[in-house]
Amino acid sequence: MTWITFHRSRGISLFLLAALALLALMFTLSACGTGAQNVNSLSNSLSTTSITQHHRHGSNNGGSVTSVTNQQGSSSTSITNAQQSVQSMKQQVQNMLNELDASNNDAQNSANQATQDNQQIP
Amino acid sequence: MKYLLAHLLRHVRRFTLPVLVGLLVSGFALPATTQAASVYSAACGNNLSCVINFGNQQIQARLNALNTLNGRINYWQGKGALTDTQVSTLQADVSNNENGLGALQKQLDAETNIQNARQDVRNLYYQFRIYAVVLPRDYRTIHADIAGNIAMKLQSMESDLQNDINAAPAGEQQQLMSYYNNFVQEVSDAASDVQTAQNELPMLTPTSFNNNAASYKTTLASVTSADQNAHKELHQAGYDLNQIEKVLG
Repeated sequence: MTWITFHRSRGISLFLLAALALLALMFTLSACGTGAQNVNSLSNSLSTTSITQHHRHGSNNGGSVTSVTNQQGSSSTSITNAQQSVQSMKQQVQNMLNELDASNNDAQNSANQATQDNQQIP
Repeated sequence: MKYLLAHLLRHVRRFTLPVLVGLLVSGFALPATTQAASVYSAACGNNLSCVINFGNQQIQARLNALNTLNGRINYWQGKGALTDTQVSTLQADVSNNENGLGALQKQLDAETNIQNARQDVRNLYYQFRIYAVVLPRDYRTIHADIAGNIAMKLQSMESDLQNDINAAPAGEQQQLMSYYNNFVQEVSDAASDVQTAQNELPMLTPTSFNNNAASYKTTLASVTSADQNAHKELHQAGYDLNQIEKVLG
């Protein structure tokens, strides 16, 4: 009786131990998954911050472009942003200078027609 | 008797040549304007409606030119190149001249005396000077106003441009700042020259044209020079901006 009882009780104990180990493993894996999600969330948050700062700069509101990009450890984004900003300015200025040229042509053409006011009495 | 006739003929010969020469000289020595006036008068002679028609054609040509000017003012307003205040000032000048020409046309059409009709035509030139003064001045004003507005817009870009240059690598900073400083200087010079032109433009009037042509010419030259300098300086600022873009690129 004792031998059989002993083997039965040890079998149950081993089963319980195995079940507990499985539970512990599942818990650990679950915890790791949550951590990964948190990392992803943090990364997304940093990217969003960076984009927000760039948009501010693009709309000529100033902003600390260099410091934000330094948080990401790269200055290439800042230069790209500056290039785009200057390109946009250049295009605006070119359009304005074209208008200036057109108005200057009007002024010169008008000056050339001044002789039409030479007096003629019929 | 025979002796008397011979004596008279001798006197006639003696005086004929000087008298003929005198007549010719006096004829050629007439002021050019008098000769021109006699030529133009011959165009219509004593025909009153001919003079009125001529005057109306001249008035209509000027009204058309003012209408074209008004169209350009509206065009620049639509483009946002002129402010509402600048547009109002220019349009008021166009309206004043249009109204004045309209009144003169009514007066001319009602004339029954050809001399009065000719005086109306003279007044068309003398009082209005649409081609000689009004149109060149107003078109120059439009250009100066647009140049001044551009200078202000470029000045408002300077801080952003400086920020963009700060983002560039250290090795490019010196070259970029050189172009930037030139840009700032050119824009500042342009603003100053526009101010000079805008201050002197109102001095260009039909009255100053009629009363002191030399002074008018001097003012016109000064206005044109300042305005053209501003034009060049703004283009130079545009060049500096292009160079900044190239270095950053």
